[in-house]
Amino acid sequence: MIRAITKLVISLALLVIIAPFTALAAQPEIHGFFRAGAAISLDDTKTYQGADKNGDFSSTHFGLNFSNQLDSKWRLASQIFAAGYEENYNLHIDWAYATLQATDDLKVNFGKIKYPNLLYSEVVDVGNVYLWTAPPQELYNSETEGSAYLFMESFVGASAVYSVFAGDFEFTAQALAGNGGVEDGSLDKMIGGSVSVNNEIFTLKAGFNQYTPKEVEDGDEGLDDNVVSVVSGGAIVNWNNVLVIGEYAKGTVDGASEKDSTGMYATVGYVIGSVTPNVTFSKLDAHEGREVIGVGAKYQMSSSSTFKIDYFNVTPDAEEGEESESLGVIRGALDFVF
Amino acid sequence: MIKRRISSITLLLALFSQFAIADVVIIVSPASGISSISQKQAKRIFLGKMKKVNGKALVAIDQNEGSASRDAFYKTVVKKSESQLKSYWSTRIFSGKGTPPKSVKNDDEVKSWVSANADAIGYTDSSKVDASVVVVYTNK
Repeated sequence: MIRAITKLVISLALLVIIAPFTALAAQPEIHGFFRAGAAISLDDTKTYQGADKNGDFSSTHFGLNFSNQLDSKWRLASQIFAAGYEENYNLHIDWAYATLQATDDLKVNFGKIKYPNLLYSEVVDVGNVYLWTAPPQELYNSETEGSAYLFMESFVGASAVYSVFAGDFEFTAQALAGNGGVEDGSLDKMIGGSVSVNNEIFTLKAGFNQYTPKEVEDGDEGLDDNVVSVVSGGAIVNWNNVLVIGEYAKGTVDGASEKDSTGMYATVGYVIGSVTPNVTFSKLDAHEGREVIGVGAKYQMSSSSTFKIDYFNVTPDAEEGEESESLGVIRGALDFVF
Repeated sequence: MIKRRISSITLLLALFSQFAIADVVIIVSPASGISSISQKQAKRIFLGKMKKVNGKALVAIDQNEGSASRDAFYKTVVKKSESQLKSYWSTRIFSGKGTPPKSVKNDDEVKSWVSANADAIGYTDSSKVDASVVVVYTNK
């Protein structure tokens, strides 16, 4: 089944490139993004997400995006992605889907689609579009070590997106169904959706998602076949030079409440010309929970390139009867879009 | 002496004109049947969020980065800087939601494209307007 889906997705990706186009219809387009990133732990023994005292460069990655507007109704798009020296930067299909413009306000997507329910989940690898070196990992991480998944890269299935304007506001409602993919298994029978409203100053988004984990390994043993429900909500306020971002998600495991998880963060940034210094607090309540306080800065080098650096202090939950020991991590990234 | 002053003033005016914002207008083909659009509609069309005006499908024609008309259009009508625009389109492109409008070199190419296509919409410096196109929005 998975092989069949993979073949379908690859076929779709190829179709994007070779499909014909007409005069005023957009021609096939290629875009891309690239990151050179590094992180280092300031502790001699403790690590955080692969970063140790010798430094970690696994966040270096690139993506190539292909799209083709076939006619007024159908559009094909796909993205290939490569990351991580441990996987030898093997290319894989990040996502690939066909979009039907059903009416002026309604689109229906079919294929492998980026998970849409969180504020940044659709562009989690594209560093130019957000403030941090990476969106707070207490929410945007699919390696949850025995707890409910709050985030996933993508799902295979279908989604319907309805968008409408009212005055200065844009309202969007989205419904999805399919199977989700995470680091070490699949999230079957997934159904969910989100609603959002935005204008020039703010964005509000709320989401709901339900799935049944299958074949998840290691610390996730026992999560199989338990129905998981995830509710999420987020807001962005961009007013004058002030940027405030907050997001929350809670995953509830039916019949195994000890595997529930909650992730959240709040960020405040202030734009000073090309530089945006920022501070973030984030927290994960889960099997292996932690609190993180970070400070960082984004430097907009040009319209297509940014340099970002973050320092954060990570405090993992203490084992019973022990005191928690925190560690400092520095992470930097150069991001480009083309 | 007087000649020197006039030369200095002329030079200053020439320098100032380099920094003045171009007077851009939005144009369509006379065959489109559209006589006016609002600033909000123009903004949504060029950001790929709206494809029809009064039931008529429109395809936006943009100008390349560095064009004075482009700078003026995005500053006064869309109200986004080049960096904000790149970030906006990055979000759209890399989530598969859409790509930026087709882009041409300058005002003359926009006018040629728009006058030849009933469903094209573009922007140009107001000094380039002639009978081959219809002005549907003027930034005042």
